[in-house]
Amino acid sequence: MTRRHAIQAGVGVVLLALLAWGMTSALEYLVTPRTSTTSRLDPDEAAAERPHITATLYYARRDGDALVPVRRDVPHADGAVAQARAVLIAQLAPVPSPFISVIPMGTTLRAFYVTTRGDAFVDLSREVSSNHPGGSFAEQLTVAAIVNAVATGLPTVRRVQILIEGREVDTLAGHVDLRRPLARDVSLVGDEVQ
Amino acid sequence: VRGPLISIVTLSVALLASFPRAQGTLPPASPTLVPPSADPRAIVIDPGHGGDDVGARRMGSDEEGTVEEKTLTLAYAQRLRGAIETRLGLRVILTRDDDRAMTADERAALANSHKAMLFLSLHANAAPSPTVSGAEVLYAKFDEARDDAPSDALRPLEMIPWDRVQARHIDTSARVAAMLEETLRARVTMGPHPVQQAPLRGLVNLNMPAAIVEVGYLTNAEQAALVPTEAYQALVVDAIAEAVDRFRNTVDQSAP
Repeated sequence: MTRRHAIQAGVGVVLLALLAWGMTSALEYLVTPRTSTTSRLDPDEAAAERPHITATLYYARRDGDALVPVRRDVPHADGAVAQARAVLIAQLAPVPSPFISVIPMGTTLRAFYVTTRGDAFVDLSREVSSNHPGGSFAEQLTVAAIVNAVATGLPTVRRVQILIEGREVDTLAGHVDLRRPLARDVSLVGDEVQ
Repeated sequence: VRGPLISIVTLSVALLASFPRAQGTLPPASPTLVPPSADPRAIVIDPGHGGDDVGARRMGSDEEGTVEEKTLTLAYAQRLRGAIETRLGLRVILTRDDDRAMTADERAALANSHKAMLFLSLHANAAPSPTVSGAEVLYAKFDEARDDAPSDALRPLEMIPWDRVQARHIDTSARVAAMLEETLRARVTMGPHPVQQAPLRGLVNLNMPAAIVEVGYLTNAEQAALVPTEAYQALVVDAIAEAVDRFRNTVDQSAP
C-alpha cells in the first residue's frame, strides 16, 4: 500500500465519523421534545405556556378593611379535587404587594379531600394556628380566605372544614368556631381586583 | 286496661304542650327543655383569652413595651365589674379574675350555672392592615342549613344541642349588640364592621343573650397606644355600663 492509499483511507474514516456524528445529532434534534426548548426561555414565558386556570384568591390590602378577591393564574390540574388543591396551595403562598396574605407564615397544605355530601376538608400544618397574630377580625379573614378560595373554585363544595395536623380543632386563635364545615361567607369580602 | 293508658297519653300531651308556653316571649320554634329562670340581677363579664393564650398583641419598642390582649381584657373586665356593681347594683361574675387559661366550654358552664341575664366577652382586635382601627361588637351566627339539626321525629323531646344553646337567644343578642354599638359610638371611634355576626366559638354554648366587645385594634399604632390608657378604658366601660342598664330595663319591662 502506498502512502497515497493510506491518506485516502484515513480521510475516509474521518468522513465516516463526521457523517455518523452529524446523523446522530440530527436524530437527537428531531427526537428531543419541545419542552426542552421552552426551558431555555424566560421563566415567565415558560409559565405562560404551561396550562393554567384563572382562580379567585382572597387577600387583604395594606389600606383595606376587607378581603379582596383577586383573579390569579393557578397551574391546571386534572380533576376537580386536584384543581381545588392547586388553588389552595396558591392561596397559602406568599403574595406580592400591594396585597397582604391573611394566611400565617409557614402554613402548608397537608391534605385536601371532599366527601360525597359536598363537604371539603382542608388539613393545614400547625403554623396556621401557632403563627396566627390573633384578633377576631384577622381570624375571620384567615378562615374566610380559605373557605371562599375552595368554595369559589369548586362549585360542588357546599361547605369547608379546616383541620390542623389531621385533627378537628375548636378555633385557629380563639374566636371562629371550626368544629363543623362552614359555608362560603362574603360578608367580609370587598370588590374584585384584576 | 285502657283507662290508665289514656291518662298517661293525655298527661304526656298536656306536658309537651305546656313547655313552649312556659317560655314566655321566646319564639315557639325554639323551645327548650330547661325553662328560663334567669337571674335578672346577674351578669357575666368574660375577659377574653388568658394563661398561655395571650390573644392579640402589640410588639412595641422598648419604651412602649409589649401589650397583650389577655392583660388588657382583664383590666377592662375588673374596671367594668366595679362600674356595673356600684352604678347599676347588679351582681357581676367574672369568668376569670386572674391570668389563667380557660376553655370556651368552661366559661360557658360557669355563666350558665349562674343563670345570668347577660354575657359580655371583652377582647382586643388585630387586623392584617395597620390602618384598621376602632371598636366593634360581635354576636353569634348559626348555620341554618345544618344537617345535624334535630329532626322532626325528635322534636317532642325538645332537646337543644349544647353547642346550639345560644341560637334561641340570637334575636336578643342582636338587640344587645345594637345597644352596645350605639353607646360605644357616642364615646369612641367605631371600626369598619361595627356590628358583626360570626360563628363565634365562645358564644355558642351560652344559655343567655351574649355579645363580644372588641375595644380596639392593637395592630393600629394609634389605638395600641390608646387602648391601655385609663381615659380610654373609662370611656369604653361607661359605654358598656350604659348598654347594660338599657338592656336591664328592657328585661324588666318584658317580665310578667
